Amino acid sequence: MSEDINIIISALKYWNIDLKRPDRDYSSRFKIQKLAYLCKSMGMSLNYKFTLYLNGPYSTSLTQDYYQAPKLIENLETDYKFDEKDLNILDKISEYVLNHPITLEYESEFLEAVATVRYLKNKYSDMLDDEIFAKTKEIKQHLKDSIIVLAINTVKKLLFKPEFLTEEARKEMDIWDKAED
Amino acid sequence: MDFKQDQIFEEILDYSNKINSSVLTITRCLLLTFNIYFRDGLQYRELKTALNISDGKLASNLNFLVKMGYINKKDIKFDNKKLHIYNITHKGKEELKKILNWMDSIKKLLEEVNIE
Amino acid sequence: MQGWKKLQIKSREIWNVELSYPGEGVGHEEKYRHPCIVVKFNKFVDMATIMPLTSNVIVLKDFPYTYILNPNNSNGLTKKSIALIYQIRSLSKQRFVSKRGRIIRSNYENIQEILKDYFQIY
Repeated sequence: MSEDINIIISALKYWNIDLKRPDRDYSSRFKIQKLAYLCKSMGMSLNYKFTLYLNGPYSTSLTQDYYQAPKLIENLETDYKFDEKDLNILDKISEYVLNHPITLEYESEFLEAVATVRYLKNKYSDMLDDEIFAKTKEIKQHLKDSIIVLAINTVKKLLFKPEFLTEEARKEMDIWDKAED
Repeated sequence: MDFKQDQIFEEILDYSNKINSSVLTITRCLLLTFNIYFRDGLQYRELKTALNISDGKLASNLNFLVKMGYINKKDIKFDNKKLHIYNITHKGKEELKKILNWMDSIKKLLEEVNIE
Repeated sequence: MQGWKKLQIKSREIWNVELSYPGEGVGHEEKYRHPCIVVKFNKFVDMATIMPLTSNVIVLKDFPYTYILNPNNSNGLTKKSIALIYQIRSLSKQRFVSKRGRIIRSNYENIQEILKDYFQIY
């Protein structure tokens, strides 16, 4: 069992997520996989390797870990402490993903869409939204268009940096901001 | 004298007798492979997208594998929807192992010969 | 400029609008015409709520609450464009110069999803 599972358990604890034993509950397993991927893709030090096919993003070694320690996950047993950088990542995922109103009805679908879009943006860094949308639709045909659109917007929120607001971006916005009516 | 080649021939023929030949189609082998890889379980719709086959073909192949005891099917609730999840069984793993061993033996045999 | 009164402005349409800046009048120079997507025309006050469009996609593509549109026969755009949904605002009908086209329903539905997210309407 890798040390990384402690990090995942800590994240679940930080977010206050109540999960059933992953060895017995499909939904639990599904959520852990997608959230673990988001944590790693946002910069947390996790060694799990993920694939996007079928159920992805999915990691076989993560699966091994939670099948070996299902009770630890159910009881959120961990002594791992996050640094500020990681807390920042967890807070963003909490704000933009876990607490999004769409999760009341479409939690798993939204989680899958966000993780998938994030994966594609990582793999194809030059792809624009319309291409990401088409690619997501191709790989995950069961995802609703509206959820994919929302996921793309959500990933932008997760990845946004103040440096994006360049002089040129400012000028574009000023065209409308400074216009009179 | 080296009887290694004879041994490989025997292996191939032995595995051929042990394999359930009805499993030896592309769709069924892929279904077993994916179900072993994705230990968590796979949804019907995920398999359909990945294999890019009709509902009829997917359903009949899944039903066959369930009937033979190579995979099992569970009903679950997911985002308030009812879904079927498929998981590999021990029997399913053993069957695919036989196929892999058989292919390994064929590869060993043909290493002596240039098949191009 | 009374011609503007006769204009029929509808949701999903793409219009060129004329913007003015402090010290200048309306309808001054072509360089101040910009395309936008109409969200809603308010007939009670002769104003339309719009979302700005720009072809400066690369600079703005990473901003949340934006949406990329590809040119097609229906929308009248000539370049790949990006809708600045977060800059949604209302303009007087007087600013509307010419209609370019209409965005297809699926694109508009996607934009509405982002608007719902923006206003947190669920």
